[in-house]
Amino acid sequence: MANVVALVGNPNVGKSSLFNAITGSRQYVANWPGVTVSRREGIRRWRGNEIKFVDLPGIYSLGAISLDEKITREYIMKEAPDVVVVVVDSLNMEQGLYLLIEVLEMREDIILVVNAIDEARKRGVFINKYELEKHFGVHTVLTSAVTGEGITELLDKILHVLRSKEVHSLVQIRYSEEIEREIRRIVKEIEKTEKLKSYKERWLAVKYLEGDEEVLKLLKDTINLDPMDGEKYEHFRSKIAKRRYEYIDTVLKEAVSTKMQKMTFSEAIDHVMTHRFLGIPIFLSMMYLTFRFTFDVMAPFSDLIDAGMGKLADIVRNIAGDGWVSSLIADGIIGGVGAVLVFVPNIFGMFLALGFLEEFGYLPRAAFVIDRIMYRLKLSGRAFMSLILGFGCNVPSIMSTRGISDPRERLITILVSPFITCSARLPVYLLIVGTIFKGIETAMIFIIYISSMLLTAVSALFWNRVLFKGEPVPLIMELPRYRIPTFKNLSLYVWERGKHFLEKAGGIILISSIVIWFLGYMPNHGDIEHSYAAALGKFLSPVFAPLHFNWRMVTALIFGTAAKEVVVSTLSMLYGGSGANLALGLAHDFNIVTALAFIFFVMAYVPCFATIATTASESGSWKWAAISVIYSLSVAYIIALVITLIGGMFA
Amino acid sequence: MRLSEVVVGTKVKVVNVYFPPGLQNRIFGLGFVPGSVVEVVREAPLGDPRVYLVRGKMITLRNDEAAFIEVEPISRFIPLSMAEVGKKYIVREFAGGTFFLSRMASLGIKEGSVIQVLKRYPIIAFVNGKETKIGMGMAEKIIVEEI
Repeated sequence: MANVVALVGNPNVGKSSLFNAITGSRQYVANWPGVTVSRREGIRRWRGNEIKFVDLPGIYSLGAISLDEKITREYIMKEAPDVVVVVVDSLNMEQGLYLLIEVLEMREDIILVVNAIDEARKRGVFINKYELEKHFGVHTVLTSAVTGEGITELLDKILHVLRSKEVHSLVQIRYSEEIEREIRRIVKEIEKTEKLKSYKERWLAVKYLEGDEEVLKLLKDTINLDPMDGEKYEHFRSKIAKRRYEYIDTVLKEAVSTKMQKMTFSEAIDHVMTHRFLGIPIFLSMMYLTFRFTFDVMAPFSDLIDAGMGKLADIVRNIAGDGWVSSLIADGIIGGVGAVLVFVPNIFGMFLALGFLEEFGYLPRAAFVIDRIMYRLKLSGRAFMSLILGFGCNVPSIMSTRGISDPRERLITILVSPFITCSARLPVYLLIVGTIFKGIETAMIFIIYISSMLLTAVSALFWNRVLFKGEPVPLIMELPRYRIPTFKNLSLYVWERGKHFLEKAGGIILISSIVIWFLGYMPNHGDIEHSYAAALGKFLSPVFAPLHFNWRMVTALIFGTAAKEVVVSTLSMLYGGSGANLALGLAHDFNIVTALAFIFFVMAYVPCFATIATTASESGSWKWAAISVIYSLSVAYIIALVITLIGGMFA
Repeated sequence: MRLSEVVVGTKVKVVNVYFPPGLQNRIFGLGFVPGSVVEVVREAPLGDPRVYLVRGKMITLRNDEAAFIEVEPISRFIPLSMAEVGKKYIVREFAGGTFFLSRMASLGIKEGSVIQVLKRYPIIAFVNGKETKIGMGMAEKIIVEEI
């Protein structure tokens, strides 16, 4: 039987780092709350035993309101892990210990881990673990996921708890006599009921007094309790919480001695980053610098790959001659995949810049600074953090909405997040902008990204109007300490996200390149004008005639629904290969107006297959996925049409 | 007094939390419980949301949300904007620039003046034998002590 250990703690206390240090897995750890969107598992062998570790989402309390809280609470209750490790931050233990108290009421076999002990020591904070053990009655280990300190001790302690059948004398906080009397009364009722044997009576009683909805329902169905009115619950809830923190205060007075001053480093940076007047200009500059870095700094590498791909195709043609094999490899595979690979440096560059901001801890600040704007959209800074992930890929962006407690806000975030330009769309912009808007590329890309955010905002407003009456949702968010990005973490970040792009290039893009090549080559052996692909594009052309898109563009858009990068590989193939041919062809067929219309169409139209599937699974119904598709398609068409009409007036 | 009304830079003590039941657990978990000391650290552009330091954590709350938290001053010295209706205060200090000081002088308010608050938003106060209107912005810069 496997030994299961669950990690529980506040967001951003280093649970994921600890998980990585223990299991050796390479999960990226971000410097903002709520990174673990669902639980992760890893195995560690230790002294001949196999231990399974489960990393649960970070939470502040064991209520069952947001999905994160639900996941964690359900896991502890239903899956009943053998050991629960509660992780707290050494520099800021109070909220973590509050959670510990909640877990202590729920179950036994708990270990307290005080993480980032190296940081505490650096700041002159001394933590006496024996005091913590004494007052909470649990084994306590001081660790540092960064230096590896305490990991061995933790693993030994886990084994010890797993093996010993001793019932640990857990310390239960005593509440006021008024509350204890209520608890005794309810416990007596619960003990009579066979059905509730699997729960801890005291925990049920405390949760009942706190007015926890799930427990209320459970008890109402099984035992006979006079219902209290809402104010009574409120009264108890407040008293209970207050008592817990009073207890923590007295413990910490004995367990922690400090010469620490305020968080001067974070304070000083925050003063500028979230400044009343500078905050928003700094936010915009950060975005602009990110795109400059993406485009300008990475351009030479892209050119290098482009030239390499051209050479490669020539070599293949020289060797394989004129037949269909040569065409398949040179035009189909190298042309198609190569056209996408050219943009790998840009995409890695963007992740490097975004990763730096995220690592550093800037993103929650950005959410804070622009919250007023989000508030107008009836969303919160929390939704903003999910949306920002969409710049990488819409799929994790949609998945991360699980941390949003309000179901309404969550659904709207899911519906609008595909409008955030993901990295797959970047190659399309770069290709068109690089050919048609020479000299002003960075500015154009910046404008495109800003427009994509505006479109997201307007859509959020729209959906709020249509679906709900538009109640604002709260912004309760922690600003974590700033952190100097480490090379290891940063490269992990870039690789984790960039890898996905490379995998796509080797998978869906390779396959669709071959399919598209086939459709373009058949039935007339390379005569693209009269191929199946042309027939498909031409068949749908009339629909796009008002936008002045020719059949090549239409074909590219159709195939682009598989993955947005495929638009680039399709265009490259239909215009006879990457490099000079493609640029010439594009320059011939696109004028400034069609280029803009095309770019905006690509920005908005149908999310890729993966995103549609994620929308369906996260919203819980294909209905929303279908609505998302229809909505984005109409929006794309309308915007492109407006651009074409306005452009037509100036032409 | 509501947490949303507290001036940036001030420390206050939580008296009561009136959050909707669902969010109350999280607010408690974050450390906003009766008795906790909260410092208003800074405000976002446009004055909303704001950052609060509570039990070692920096937490952002919108003003609408901070209004659910009832607080009381810790220090006997508070800005006039936090003063309660009906009570009498003595002016101890001014925290403003030249323009502000000359404005005070023209209203006849100086260190040692006794102010009785009659109404809030804006503050209507009884000072120097007559009723005087003082805007909330200005009231934030007048430091008073309760008598």
